[in-house]
Amino acid sequence: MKVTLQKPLNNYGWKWPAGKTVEVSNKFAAKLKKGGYLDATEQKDIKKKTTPKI
Amino acid sequence: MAQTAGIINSSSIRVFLGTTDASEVVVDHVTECSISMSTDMRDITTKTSGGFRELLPGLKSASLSLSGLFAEDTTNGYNQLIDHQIAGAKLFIVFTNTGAGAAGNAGDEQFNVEGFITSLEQSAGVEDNVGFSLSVEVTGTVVREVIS
Repeated sequence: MKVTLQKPLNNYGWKWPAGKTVEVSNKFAAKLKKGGYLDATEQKDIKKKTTPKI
Repeated sequence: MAQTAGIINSSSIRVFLGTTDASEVVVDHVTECSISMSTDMRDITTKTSGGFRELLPGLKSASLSLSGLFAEDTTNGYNQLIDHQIAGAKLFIVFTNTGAGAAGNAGDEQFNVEGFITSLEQSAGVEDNVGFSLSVEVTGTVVREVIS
């Protein structure tokens, strides 16, 4: 899958700058995600707006 | 995702490789790829075989080959592959079906093997694309697994 690095990688036999987009195997994508190298893909919970009662 | 239904489009088959396990990157600009597994046969024919040869399976082996177009600025192309061959590096290879997307299609099956480059050739004709072809001999177990 295509992933974009959010920080430089110099590990696992690769040396890439932050911002590089690469197509990697599913297992490598999971490893990069675990190592904190990828853009956060999880959508943050949207806080409900509360309207003050008049 | 579910297993792909029907006959697979060959463009969906991709080769990812790297020099450490589970750190594979797609090989750039590939035009053709194949993986082949073979089984040597042991001849167990005796006088009681009734005049017909009898066999049992022996050593199993596999090889992988691909060809593609050469470019200098690849992430994982000829320039990286020739470095691996010179270094004698072991390659970790995934031969997978990405479907319409760029990721291995969960539910389908893929090969997961290790091997060494036995041949890497760069070819250049006249007013044509510069190309390359790669052959890898697999070492150890040939794993056929469901993509997750």
